Amino acid sequence: MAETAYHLERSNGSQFVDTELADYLKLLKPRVMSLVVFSGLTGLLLAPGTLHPILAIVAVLCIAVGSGAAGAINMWYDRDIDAVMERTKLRPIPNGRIAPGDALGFGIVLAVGSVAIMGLTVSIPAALILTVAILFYVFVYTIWLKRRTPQNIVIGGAAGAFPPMIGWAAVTGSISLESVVLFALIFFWTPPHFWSLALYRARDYEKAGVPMLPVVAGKRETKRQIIIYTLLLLPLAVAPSLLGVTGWLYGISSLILGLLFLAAAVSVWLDDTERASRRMFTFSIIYLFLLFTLMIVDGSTVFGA
Amino acid sequence: MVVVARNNGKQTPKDIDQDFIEPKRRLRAKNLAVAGVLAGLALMFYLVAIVKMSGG
Repeated sequence: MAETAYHLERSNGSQFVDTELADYLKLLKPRVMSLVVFSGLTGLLLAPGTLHPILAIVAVLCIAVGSGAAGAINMWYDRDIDAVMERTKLRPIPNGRIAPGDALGFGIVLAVGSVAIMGLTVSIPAALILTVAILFYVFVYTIWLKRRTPQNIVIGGAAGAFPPMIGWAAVTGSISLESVVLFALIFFWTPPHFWSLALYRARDYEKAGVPMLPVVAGKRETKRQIIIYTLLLLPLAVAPSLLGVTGWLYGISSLILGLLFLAAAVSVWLDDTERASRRMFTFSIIYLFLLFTLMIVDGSTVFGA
Repeated sequence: MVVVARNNGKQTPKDIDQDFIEPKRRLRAKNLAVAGVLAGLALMFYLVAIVKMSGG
């Protein structure tokens, strides 16, 4: 944020902007990281088997740092469009508080460090999935898809869906149907989440030349797609209960939450003001947090389930 | 935090002191942060080694 920048105005009028440690933390996209950490922790707690608490903490830290690293590299690559968009123009690179090269170096060091520590201390399969997640986010989403297709966040959303798989693999050392279902849940949640944001930020994306669905196909089509993905999400959200990962408390709750999410999507369809899409965006975050919380409460052996 | 020259655009001796003190303070803070991260990593590897040696 501009107010946190440290400005020293010299007597000759020149100004230099010093870098706050907080700016480096902002490069890690802490809000995205919190969701990534929580979903990774969910995979870790739901997986059959045990992991020493110290190793579990290390695994979660590696997921967090790996996610942050990908975010920093993303901010380095997107610095030109970030400077144009209202939502992102105060980020540390476009605001001149961190040099692009420093951000890239920071991201690479953290990415390599998180993968190496995960592989050396927790599990090689978890480190491999973490590597795939980081590379997918940087190369497939950021560099390849984001500026080329309105399906950018559909395919690119896979990057954000890996954390529960990483958590699961940290405990079991493998990928199983259950962890794939957790992956699919986030994968199908991502489009309605981002498109509801894109609906009320369409002008911003258009200005930056990012072909988000509302920019390319219009708001009506975006709202239709939001409903389709929300419908697809409904059975997927219940699946962990059907697979025996969680009990019926989660099953019934996820069905209710899914119907509420669908209701939010329908209200976006019916309401032409941006109020409904803002509400949908906020609710999408609450929805995923509640879903994973319920999974942990109802499915994790930590709570004696 | 924003430090600007007052006095019709001229720096007071206090402002000039700030110019030298603040960057030093901030560099020290950064060095401490790096040292903290390194100490954290060392502690983490130590704890992991203990867990691994005890068969965890």
